[in-house]
Amino acid sequence: MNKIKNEILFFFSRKFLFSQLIVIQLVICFTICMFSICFQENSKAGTKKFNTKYNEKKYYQLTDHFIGENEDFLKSDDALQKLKLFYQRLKSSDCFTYAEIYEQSISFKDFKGSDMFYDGYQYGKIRKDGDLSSLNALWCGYDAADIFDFDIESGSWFDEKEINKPYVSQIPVILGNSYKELYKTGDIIYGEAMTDCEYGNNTFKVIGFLKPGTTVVSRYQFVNLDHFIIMPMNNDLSIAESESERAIIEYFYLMKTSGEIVSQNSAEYVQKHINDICQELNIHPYYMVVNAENQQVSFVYADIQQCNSILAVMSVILILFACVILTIFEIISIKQNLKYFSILLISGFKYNDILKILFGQTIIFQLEALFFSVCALIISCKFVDIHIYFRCFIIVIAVSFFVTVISVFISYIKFLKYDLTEYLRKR
Amino acid sequence: MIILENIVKTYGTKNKFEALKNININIKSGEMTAVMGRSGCGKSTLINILGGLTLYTSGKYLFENNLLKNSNNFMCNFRRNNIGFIVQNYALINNRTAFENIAVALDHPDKKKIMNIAQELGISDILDKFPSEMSGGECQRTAIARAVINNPKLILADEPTGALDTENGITVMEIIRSLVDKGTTAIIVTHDNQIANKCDKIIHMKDGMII
Repeated sequence: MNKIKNEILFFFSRKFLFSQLIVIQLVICFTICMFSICFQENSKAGTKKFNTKYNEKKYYQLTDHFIGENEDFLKSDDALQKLKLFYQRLKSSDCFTYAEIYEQSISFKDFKGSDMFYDGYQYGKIRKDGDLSSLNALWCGYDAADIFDFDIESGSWFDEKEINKPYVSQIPVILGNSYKELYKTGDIIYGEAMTDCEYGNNTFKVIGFLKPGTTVVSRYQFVNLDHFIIMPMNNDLSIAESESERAIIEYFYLMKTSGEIVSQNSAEYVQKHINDICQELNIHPYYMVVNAENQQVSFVYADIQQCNSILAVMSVILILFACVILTIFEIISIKQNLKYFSILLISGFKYNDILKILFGQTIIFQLEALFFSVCALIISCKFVDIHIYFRCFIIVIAVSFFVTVISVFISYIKFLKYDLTEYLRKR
Repeated sequence: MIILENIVKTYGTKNKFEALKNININIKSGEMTAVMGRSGCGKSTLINILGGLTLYTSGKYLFENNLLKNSNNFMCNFRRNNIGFIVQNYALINNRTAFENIAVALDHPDKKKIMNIAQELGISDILDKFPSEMSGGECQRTAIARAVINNPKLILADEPTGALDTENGITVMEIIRSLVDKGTTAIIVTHDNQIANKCDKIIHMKDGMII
């Protein structure tokens, strides 16, 4: 065995540079394979979570129509009371779950982040008023985190008592993951929660960060919250003392009643239920429910599946490529070393020993390639923030063993066809 | 010691070529036999069959009265335990020293054993040299050292002096003779009458047959 081990090392070192080129190719193949597997596993986990979150439920956007001549409703004395009652009925409905969320920008003073954080960035219209920057924000009720399954990476979700206080002192905010580069938990930020009202000037306190890729359904579409500020939706149910205060509270209730309805029921059924409440509370025109999200879910889901299929095909092609490359290398290597093998044969080596040498050499290739591919995978996964699954190592080790067996087997069959005695006569 | 009975070797499947035709040989233990004949008459094929490097098509091969199985695996074991090969172009591994070339034949590199054989063959001072740094005679003596280090019962030499000058050729033949005198059997393929005349027995071959 010692003799064979020595020959394996000798044979391997003989064409060191050439063999390293093969190792580099194998490293590329294995790294891409492992990366594909990790990516697939990540997307599977993500898809499963996404599917559970969105595909098994129906989301409806609740929207009012108090515009134009319908704005008169808001001018009536009991409008605020009706809105409050409507809100309470939404929260207590047996027909659906009501998620209190509303997209409404807030402004931070001396903001240093990129344009991607700004409100209207996607439409190419960002707003900077002096030292104030109008940023994307999602106002959320206390239970929105449970309904949308938000993951907090650091810090905590809003305190229920805190959220019910009027906006008088520091407003707790949770920031999307991309804000991590700009702020840390506990930072105090000056800005405005809502312009043109006495609630305007505020200080915000960062109490946590969302995990990257946290999504929510809002205004008929999926919204990635990485560049969003999560603002608590105030539950101040105090009675307005002045006209301006009433207008603000009314505005809050319009926000609070324009959230998302989560239900297993059809849009028609939910709409009928909303109509019944509106009719009962004498709210005109009725609130509308709009459903457009499920179609989008299926599109996203199909995209991920398609992406996974492409990666699977790519992995298979790479494995076949590795097989072919290694087999060609083995055949070339045998051809170049026929005299060496014939010398071994007259020096007491058996054909089995030569098979072991070929196998051993290929195993060294694979181990070297696997080592470097694992390193490359760890680095690349850190770089693109993909979770590494242990399973991918097992699969690639099994695959590399399969590649080894196939290539050695093919090249050994080729080797047996040579008449080695001819090579003993060659100089 | 060696008995070949009606050995036939055919190459090819469609266009068959009979390299050996009904070869019958009987070689006694401790005998030095020369095999002579023109190029292509089947000398090398015969020696390769004797050494188990080539399988025969039909016939019987008895070694020390044991019928040898005509299979690669069996012949590999047989060769490993009984045969020492010497070839015209030495068959040394170029990027290994003389010491390492001799050690190839050993399961574990036994320095003492290698030193002994090297001393016996007069190559102890070139053990750290590579084949490219050695003369033809030194190369062939290194090859002989590798062939005999495991004390084979049979030495098969295919033109062992073919690439050497007269002086070195004589030295190599003297080495082989000394091994035969110690009880080893040797079969030497040669074109050279002078070499053949130094052997105990001469087998003449023509067109795959013994004449």
